[in-house]
Amino acid sequence: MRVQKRSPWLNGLGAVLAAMALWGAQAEAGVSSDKPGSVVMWPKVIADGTRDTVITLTNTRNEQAYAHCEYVQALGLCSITGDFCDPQATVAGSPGLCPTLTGNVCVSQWQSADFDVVLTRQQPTMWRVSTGRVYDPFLTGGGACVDTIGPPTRQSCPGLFLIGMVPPALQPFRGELRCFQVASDGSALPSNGLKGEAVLETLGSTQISEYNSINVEGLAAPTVAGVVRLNDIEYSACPEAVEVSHYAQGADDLVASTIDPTVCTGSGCPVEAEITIIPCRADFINEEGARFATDIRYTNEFEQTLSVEPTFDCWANFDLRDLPFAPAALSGTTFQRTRIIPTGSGLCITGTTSLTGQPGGPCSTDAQCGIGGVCGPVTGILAIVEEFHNTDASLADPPTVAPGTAASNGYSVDFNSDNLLGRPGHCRGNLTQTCAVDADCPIGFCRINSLAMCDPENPMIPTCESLDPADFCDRCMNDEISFEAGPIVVQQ
Amino acid sequence: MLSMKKLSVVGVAAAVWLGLAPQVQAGTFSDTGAAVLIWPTIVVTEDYDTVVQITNQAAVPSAAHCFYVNANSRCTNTGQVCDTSTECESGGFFGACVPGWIEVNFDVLLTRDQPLAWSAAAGLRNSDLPCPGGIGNTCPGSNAGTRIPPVGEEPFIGELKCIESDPITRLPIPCNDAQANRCRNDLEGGATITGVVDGGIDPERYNAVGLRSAGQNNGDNTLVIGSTPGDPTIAEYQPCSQVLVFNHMFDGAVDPIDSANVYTSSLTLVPCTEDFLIQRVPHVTAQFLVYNEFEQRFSTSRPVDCLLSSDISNIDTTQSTRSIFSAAVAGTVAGQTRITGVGGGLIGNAFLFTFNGEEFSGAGYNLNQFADRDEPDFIRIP
Repeated sequence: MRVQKRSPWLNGLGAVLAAMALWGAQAEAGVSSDKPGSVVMWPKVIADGTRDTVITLTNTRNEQAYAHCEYVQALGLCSITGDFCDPQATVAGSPGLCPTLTGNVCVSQWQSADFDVVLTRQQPTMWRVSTGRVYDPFLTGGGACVDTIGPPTRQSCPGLFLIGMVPPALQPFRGELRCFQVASDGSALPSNGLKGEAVLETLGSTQISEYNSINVEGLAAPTVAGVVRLNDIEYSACPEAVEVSHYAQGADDLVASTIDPTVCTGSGCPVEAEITIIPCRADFINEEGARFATDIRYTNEFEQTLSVEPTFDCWANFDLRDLPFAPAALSGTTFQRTRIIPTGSGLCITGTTSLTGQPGGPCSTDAQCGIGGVCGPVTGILAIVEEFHNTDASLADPPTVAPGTAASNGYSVDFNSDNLLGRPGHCRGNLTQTCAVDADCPIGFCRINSLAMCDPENPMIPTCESLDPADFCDRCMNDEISFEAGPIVVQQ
Repeated sequence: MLSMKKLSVVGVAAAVWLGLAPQVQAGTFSDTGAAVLIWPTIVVTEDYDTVVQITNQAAVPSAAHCFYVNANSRCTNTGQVCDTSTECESGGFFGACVPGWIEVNFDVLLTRDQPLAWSAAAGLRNSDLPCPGGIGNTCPGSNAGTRIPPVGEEPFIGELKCIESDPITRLPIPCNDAQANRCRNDLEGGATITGVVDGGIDPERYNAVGLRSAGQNNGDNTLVIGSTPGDPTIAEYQPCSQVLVFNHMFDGAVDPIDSANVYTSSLTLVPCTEDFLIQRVPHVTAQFLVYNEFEQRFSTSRPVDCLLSSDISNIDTTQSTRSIFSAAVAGTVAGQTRITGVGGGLIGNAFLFTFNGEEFSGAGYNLNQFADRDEPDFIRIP
């Protein structure tokens, strides 16, 4: 159980700082892929034997920066055959389905592994996900990394690497990476110095995709240790919805056959798109990702729309063929816009059960989450898209070239047209009521002593901290990321 | 009531906070709807074409007035497209290769929620418009009025700007967030530079850079991007950034995943300020601060005449192995370059390439940014 330290006057300080931050924030802050932030997320990281990833992380400020990072292993594997799979794949013939075999079901996981990174002022750094990186002060500069003799293979690259080591990700790895800017004692520090990119490479080829990390701006000092609150007060809130634009499922590349008709003669050069979605909420202390339900709406060039409402378990990476949308050959379209909106009434963030009978499932009241349960708002989501451009040669058996790959970041959507990109909070105890600040909610309840009412501004009501030093008051709730705050330790 | 002690602690904390304060900024956006979209790199060659994508985020129709800027350099003696003056030989005489700037504008009308895409080489003819779609038409709306020309020549390098506009006046829609006519940020875009190489496709995709509304617009033909504090000029669009932050691999660095591959990077920069009315070529100087993984710093600068598109190791020299962007000089794989525009704001995007001696492919991505410019930029349109 995490230790959370709070003091009532820290609330006041937080409010003052928040007000100062907001006063200075005339412009839209936000969760962004083109501005540095204090929480940096790479939704799609692959090191599974077919592809590998190079992560870049940069300190954009003139002071040393510390980052606490968490890999999330979210690989789906077929229980008998061991193939990679997508738990949401239901459409016959979709690439995410497990081979038909009794009991051969897709099992996904959510397992985190943490490490730290230290960056000198303005320092860029990088590492390969499958090998990690080990500091070698004797390595001469020359722009080339050196593999150590394995297994496991490790890699040293020229440059300062003060933390000493970034471990390799557990392999095969498919999942995400998050880094939090922290102080040297490991507490969250919202100074917005970090940014990054991910380069996904198909092994044995030169094919690469690159996307920017998604960065959450810090706005004010956190008031609960180890909890990053994405509420537009302490950290920017996640968007109300996200969308990506891409080729429709199986649509022919628009220009390839014009440039060189010979490469598309047999196949037409179809393009497939893969969308990766991560929930904003995560609990790295209790090793719990956030389940999320989505409304995925497709709009094509002909204004035709379709929607499906799949539920995902903590991380989703699906091919469009996994969804029951019409392929381009039937709809006649070439491009589509896919909008993804988080749906549902609530999510049990503590407690022993939920409406599905499992912890961490859907809810609309605290009582539905069981003993000590807290029903929080559904999580916000973030997304990227990657396209795979095929030719006759990449579709040959065996393929003679790799499909061309290209990734890009998703777009935030002001879905409720309130002129704000960040999603509003929801009141504890009444999740149908939206809020921006605690005062918008009539009353709060303690997080740990979940039946105890709280109102830090009312001295007649006992504070949550008086009941449990680690407790705090929930009123206007939004996304949270919890992580273990520990001192930065150099690895040997 | 806070005690004096606590108040002073608050004061100290506030001072510390201000010192460490994150700069919450507006700047440009490549990941949400905007009122102005900029695609810094549009390329058409024999082997490459650019697929331009634009999407309407709104549930009502939107219109955009767009400008292709042809930034091909040309020989002074022959008028031919060139990269260097050595290509300008004619009859034993050499001309100079000088930067060019030719603008062509057109309109795009999008139905509600509609994604639309076209080939830069081919454009979009009336018969290719998705709505109305002829027999079996399913579109409630119409793209009528849209006519997208092909880019002016091949080879072509240039930029594309689209401004959310009134389809009749072709000027920005007057708006004020404080009143009923709220400003709109409906457009999102991307581009995929697509090549066919050795039987495979090399797609390089990036998101268009967007300028979001600042909350009011007088609807005239001068778009005011940001403003100077204390200046009566009212910003109509959020400012361009003071510094572009460009993460890259140094040219010649060995790919950490496959040591047979070598990285190169390229960068495109365009000015925030442009005058399409009198066809004035904007001139901004880009200052580059380059950091390697040893925290060592290099710097250089380079004028941006309308558009700068260059391999990074040719920004400061024509001999790439001597460049401060070369892995042989910088010594590390990854670098950070901070780019400041002098004389105006800059917008850009980047590409990373891998090459193994035979195969070649690339990936596009967007730049980050730091702080807002404290002087306005302007786009003037006919």
